[in-house]
Amino acid sequence: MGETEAAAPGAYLRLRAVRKRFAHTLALDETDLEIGRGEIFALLGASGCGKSTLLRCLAGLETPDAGTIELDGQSLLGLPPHARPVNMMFQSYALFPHMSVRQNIAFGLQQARLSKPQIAERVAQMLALVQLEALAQRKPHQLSGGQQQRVALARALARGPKLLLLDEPMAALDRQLRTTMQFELAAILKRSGVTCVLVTHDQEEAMAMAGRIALMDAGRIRQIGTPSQIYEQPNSRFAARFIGSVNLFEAVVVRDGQGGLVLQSADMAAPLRLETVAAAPGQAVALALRPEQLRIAHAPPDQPYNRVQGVIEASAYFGRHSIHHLRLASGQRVMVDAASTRVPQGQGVSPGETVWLWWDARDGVVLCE
Amino acid sequence: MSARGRKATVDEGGRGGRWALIGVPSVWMILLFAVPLLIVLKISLASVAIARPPYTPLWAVTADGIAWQAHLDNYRALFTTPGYVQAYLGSLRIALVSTALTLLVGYPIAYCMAQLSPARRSLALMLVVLPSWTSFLLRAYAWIGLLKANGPLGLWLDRLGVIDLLRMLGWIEGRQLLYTPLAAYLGIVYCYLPFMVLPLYANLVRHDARLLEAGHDLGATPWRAFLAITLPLSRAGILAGCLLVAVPVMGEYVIPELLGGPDTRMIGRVLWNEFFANRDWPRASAMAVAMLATLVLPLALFERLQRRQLAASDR
Repeated sequence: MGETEAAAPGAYLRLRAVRKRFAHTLALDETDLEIGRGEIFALLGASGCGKSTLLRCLAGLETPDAGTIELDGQSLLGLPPHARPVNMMFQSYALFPHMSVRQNIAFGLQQARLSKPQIAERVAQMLALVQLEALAQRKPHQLSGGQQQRVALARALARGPKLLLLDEPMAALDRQLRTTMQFELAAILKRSGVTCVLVTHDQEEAMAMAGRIALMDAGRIRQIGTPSQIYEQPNSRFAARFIGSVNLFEAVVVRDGQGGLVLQSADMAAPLRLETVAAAPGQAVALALRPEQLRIAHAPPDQPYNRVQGVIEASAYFGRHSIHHLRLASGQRVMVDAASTRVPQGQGVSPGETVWLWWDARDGVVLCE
Repeated sequence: MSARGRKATVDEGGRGGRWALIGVPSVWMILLFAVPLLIVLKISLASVAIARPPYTPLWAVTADGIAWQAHLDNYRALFTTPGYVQAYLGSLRIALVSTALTLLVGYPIAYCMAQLSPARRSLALMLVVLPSWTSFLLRAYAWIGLLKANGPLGLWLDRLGVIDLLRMLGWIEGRQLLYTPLAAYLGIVYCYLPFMVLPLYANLVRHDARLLEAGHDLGATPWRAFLAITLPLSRAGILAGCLLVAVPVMGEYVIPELLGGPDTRMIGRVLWNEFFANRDWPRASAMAVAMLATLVLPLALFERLQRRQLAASDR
């Protein structure tokens, strides 16, 4: 996986073989991770995958059983949370309800025993950064969800941490606000230049905000890469299924020759051809195809490979695109996402109809894992 | 009969039920609270008389018409008689000190209980409440047994030199802890502890643990995080607990009487003396009314504060 290491420019945060076990579960299993300075990095996974444990180990709220954590060349282990140059924006923010916005932001600075004018200056800077000057005297319960989020961010940034942790930053917001806040938050983070690790279960959030994503499952990192790498080149069936939708065809490698790979699948008579990857003949693999990589046609496609017939079971029109569910003769179900700009090929397709399904030899990824 | 007619009777029954619901407790309150209070108020305005009942009527019918005999002399006496003033101040001091002590002992207990797992919490709650199932009086007597010079606790206090130490400090005079103001405090703190722990626990158990984590994350040591976050957020619980302890301790009679010895002058004992020993009902009534007034004031304040806090959290 050359792409995995490619995007780590001189590790700023370095985790080696970090492990954490709770009473009955292995929350984190021998995890290695390197994050560059100024990077916005997302830990993505379902609940219970270990992403929150990893974040809490970075904050010092949990102590790993084994492994090392270094930030800017300095070991974080052994430092209590209040002594780490790390600050966290908590899930649903954990703002102090009895303090005003100003007092919340000033809290961390007071603990650092800065002088009053220094605190006032820094708080003013932070209020300006998140554009909350007008609401400085309000209490948290008098703010909207989006405003609370910005207070939490300002509070976490006030001490100028070397590392900012964000725990499910959007989870407390309603759906509509989420999309706008993702971009706004990402913009503020980039402006402040701080190195960020954010935890989320929402792939859109991870993809919108982070430069690189680590996909986690059962206490292990399954794949690390940019959003496009993770989506376009998943390294496992798990990764392919987790990000977006995918059609997986189980197949066996027939030939690894010139012009790419030839596979044979029980789902279709025609051979499968791929231009890119290499694999050993005889190996059992899965071919992953995204719904938008598949095309529908009434007439048989010209190519003798990468094609199969199926029956439309259901269709839904969404404006920008349509989703079709097909069933192959083998019983395998396939999902096709047809953009509305390509209407001619999908037009007139109605449930019950038998159509051809085809795709380009340049599309698709072979998954061994 | 149409469905409409039946509906009307149902409504009627509903209204009757509502009246019963408000009416029963109202009658209860009027008969057993308001009327006795008015009687006490009436007696407090009369003069003592050797008669049965031992006080004069508020008015007398004479040839000229009705002559008022009500007066405020009994209340005036409360302020001018040094013994009464001392007793009031004594009660106030004992109430304040024992409330502070109860808070000091109760807060850590409530805090630790709130940190327990839910299953252990209910066990701890049980342990706090369990002693209250025994009579107040019995527990006070039990302390007599424990504290007297040859009692199990008294013996060890003497052997360990605690008694000597307390004597050196001038806190006690005799050779035992029993029948000293210190013993009264001990008994009061012990008996009123649940009233402090329960409201505090109810408050602390609702605290969001992530607030403390956020405090640590922002550089606060555990102790400073406690002072800056937990303590101010538990203010309502502290206030409730203090009132629940201070108000009844102010009028406490049994514990200081049993454990405190003759030096512990509290208004409850003076009241008892006036009523039963001197048979001066009007004076005793005036004291009772005055005490009630001093107790109602902080309660009303607390009530207002709580309502304001509720309104704030609703917003």
